[in-house]
Amino acid sequence: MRWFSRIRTGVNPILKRRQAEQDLDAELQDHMEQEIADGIRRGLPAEEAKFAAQRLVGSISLYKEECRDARNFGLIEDVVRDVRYAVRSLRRAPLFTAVAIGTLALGIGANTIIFTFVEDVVLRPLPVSDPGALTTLNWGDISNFSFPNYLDFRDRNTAFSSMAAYRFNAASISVHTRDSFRAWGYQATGSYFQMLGVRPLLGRFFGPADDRRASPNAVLVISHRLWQGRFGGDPNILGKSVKVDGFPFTVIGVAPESFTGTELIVAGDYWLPLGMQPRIEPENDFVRWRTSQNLWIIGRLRAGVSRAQATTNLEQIAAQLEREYPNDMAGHQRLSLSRPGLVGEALRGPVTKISIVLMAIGGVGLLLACINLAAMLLARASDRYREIGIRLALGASRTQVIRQLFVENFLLAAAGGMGGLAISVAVTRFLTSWHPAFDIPIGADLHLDSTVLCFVLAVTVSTTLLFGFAPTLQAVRINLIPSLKNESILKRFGRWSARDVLVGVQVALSVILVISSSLVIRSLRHALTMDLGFDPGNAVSVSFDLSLQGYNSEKSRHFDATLLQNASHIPGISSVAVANSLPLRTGGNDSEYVSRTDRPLPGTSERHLAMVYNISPGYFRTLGTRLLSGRDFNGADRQQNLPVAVVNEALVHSLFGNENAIGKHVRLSLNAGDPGFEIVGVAATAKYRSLNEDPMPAIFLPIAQTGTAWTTLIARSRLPAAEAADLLRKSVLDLDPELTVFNAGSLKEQLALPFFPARALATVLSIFGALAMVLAATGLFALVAYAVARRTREIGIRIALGARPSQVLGAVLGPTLALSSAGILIGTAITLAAGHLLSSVLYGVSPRDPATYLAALSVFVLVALLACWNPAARALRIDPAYTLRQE
Amino acid sequence: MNGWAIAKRINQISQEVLQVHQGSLYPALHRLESQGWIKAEWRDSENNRRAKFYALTASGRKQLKSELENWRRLSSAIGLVIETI
Repeated sequence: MRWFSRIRTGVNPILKRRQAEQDLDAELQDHMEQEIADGIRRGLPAEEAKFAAQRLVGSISLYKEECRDARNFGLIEDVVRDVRYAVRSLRRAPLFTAVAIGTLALGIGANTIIFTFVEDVVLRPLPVSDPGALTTLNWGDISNFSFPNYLDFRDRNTAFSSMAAYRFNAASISVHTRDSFRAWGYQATGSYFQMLGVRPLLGRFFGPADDRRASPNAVLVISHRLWQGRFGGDPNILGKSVKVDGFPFTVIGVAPESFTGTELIVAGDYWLPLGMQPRIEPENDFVRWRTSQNLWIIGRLRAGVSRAQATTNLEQIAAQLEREYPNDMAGHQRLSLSRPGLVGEALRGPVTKISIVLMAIGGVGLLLACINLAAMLLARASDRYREIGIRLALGASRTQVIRQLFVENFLLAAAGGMGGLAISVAVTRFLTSWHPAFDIPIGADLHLDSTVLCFVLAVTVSTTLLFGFAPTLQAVRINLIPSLKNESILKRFGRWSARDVLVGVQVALSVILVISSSLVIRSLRHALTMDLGFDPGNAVSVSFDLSLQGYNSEKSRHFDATLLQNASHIPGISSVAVANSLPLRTGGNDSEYVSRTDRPLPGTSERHLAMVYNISPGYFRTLGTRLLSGRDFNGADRQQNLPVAVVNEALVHSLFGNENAIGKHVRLSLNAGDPGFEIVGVAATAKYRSLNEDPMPAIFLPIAQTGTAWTTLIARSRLPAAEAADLLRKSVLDLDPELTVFNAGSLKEQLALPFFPARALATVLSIFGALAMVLAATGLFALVAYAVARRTREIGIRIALGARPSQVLGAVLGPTLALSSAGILIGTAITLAAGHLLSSVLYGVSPRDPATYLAALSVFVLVALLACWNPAARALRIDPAYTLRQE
Repeated sequence: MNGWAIAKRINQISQEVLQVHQGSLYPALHRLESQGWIKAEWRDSENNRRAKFYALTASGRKQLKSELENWRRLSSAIGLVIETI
């Protein structure tokens, strides 16, 4: 029970502090009176007795102090007092406090945002049961598998308790006629929900029994968001009929709010069995082909099976498949497993890399802010030399002084932490509520949770320790006598103090940040101005899907022809074309193996994949792609005539080398008897899938010979983009008012998605770069200003003895110049050495690009000079007569 | 016994050799109280004034016993050493 009474005596006095104080007063008063009474009893006169008693009792307040200590009121009350004192002393230096809290808030805020992103996008497990056992399969660089391969992996493996395959794509959904909208969702195998172990919010999920090829009872699961939004939370939603791409489905379940599918950054709105895919896409029979790699596979490991064992098992199956189907396999590709949620390794890899770079930069930024603060605190500690000296002289123990300084530092850090939290809350709110004009629902749901709060707390505490440690130690390592005599300052003159070294380190870190951010920004400028192979300026497009309205190939060809005819007459539009898809458009692009018909079928290792586009005449002119040789399609390229194709330069280069490709034939199948397409033109190579892809072969086929259901109408026009897009939309709806028109807008707008990662990274980096620059400048400024201030007297003497201005400047700036050049050199060396870390996010810029280094460094030197200017000028203006008299 | 009486009593018993000053008396009493070896209560004294009275607790008695033993051992040892010289 001893601990209990301890706590009681420890806490009681605080709760009943006033009571305890009164008791103590009463007790001591009582003692005094008894002493007086005793004196009178011994025969002293009353007055005398009182004096005698007072002499004996002495300083009552001192006893009280000791009694309080004895009762260990101590710690908490002391801390409360320290906090009050700290608030007072911080309020006395408002500029210092504002700068300190501001830099910390920025540093902590930026790191919190980065951490929130990493936690929610990279680290967050899928919201399913036992997500740790789930894993995505990757084959080589890609995570896509064909349906036959999926079946073989599923049936032959011994490592997974279950496997599911799915694809993510868009569909037109309509509840009533004339009310269709476009939504993205999953086509998944029947094992999908069982394997994930998610519970439906309403109704049931589909299982293997619902996933039969073109089963007559078509079932659909919808997302919570779709249910609440489009269906207004209809409680009788189950059993309702909903058309997906024109085919009726019955809603059997609603997914819980937390579950938006197995990919984290895109939110799915519906799930339907993969078996139903032939119903809604009758012309796409990819499930039959081993070469059509359209599915992602996710599997649940059996209990006790390691990832390495599972990989070995899958590799064996892959080897078997390569033996059995030598023509259909891409050659020896390694199988690997990765955490699900970010489209296998294809997206997770780059996202992880970018996260690491971001976290490193954020960490360095925060370190920089800490160092800056430490330097300011050191300067302040020197200013407070006298104050601390007085406190020590008056009997404060060193522990008390240290504790008080720590409380002060912690207050700063706590305020910075709160500010950082506020900043990150604001930014993540903005990011979550921000709906960019992308076609795909980006669902990165950034939110603050307990993990993030713990992170902020940990960062705050460690920054307190980081920036408070050195200054606090220096503050109490104090000699009483000189500090009281105000001499201290001259004693330390001429040596490098911890503070000077800190400024050097700070300069080095800032150089690292400034150079790396300039590199990334330059790389982004490259990306933004690079030749895409087409010109998105002044181009608008609208997309629609004819299969929804049951158009067959013949009907859609007719529709496209009429549409082109009508649209080309719209005033203000200079050229129009239609295509099944556009370069850099997310989703829905096909690629096929392409080969020359005058050569035997190539082996697995020498095959070339080509992007396939179906286009109308005028496509190249409208999109601004140069036609290098040959001709564009024309009205003569019809179905009954010879199949023709336009190919890009990259395809010519990989199949024909330096030969003239015009007139040659290429085939898009692995069938040796295929007569193929005659090449009639060669176009410039564009970017098709991503901005940093290598030149990719592409082949363009006339829409009049192939037909397509997914159609994009493109136009080049001088009209404002919104107006032009409206005119196009109207021309489509004039022909068929039941169509769903989507993705209407300028091409520039639609390119926001591919440019997004580079833009985001560049924004973060420029903020950090600017912050680093400001911190380094303030650090240098403070260093020089402080050097001038503490050496005012010395400089005065020097001037009085006839020092020239240049000598004075040398004395003031010398150490600073030495420090900053050392810092710049070290920072440059570190950046050069760590260049390979950056190379993964740089595009078109070497991590050791001399021009960038030169530019960043000269800006840096300029800023450093500016920072030194004011205090150096002040040193020159020192009036010896005045300073010598001052002290 | 209240604080003043304790001081007086020590003074008398030691034949005025030991003078316990208030500056050490009250902090010591408060320390003993927070250790739980003595307890205090407010009562009316003989001249009808409220005063704080201290008394040993059970654990205080035990502590006293062990401290006394310690003291006896120490003082007899010191006595032996000094007398030998």
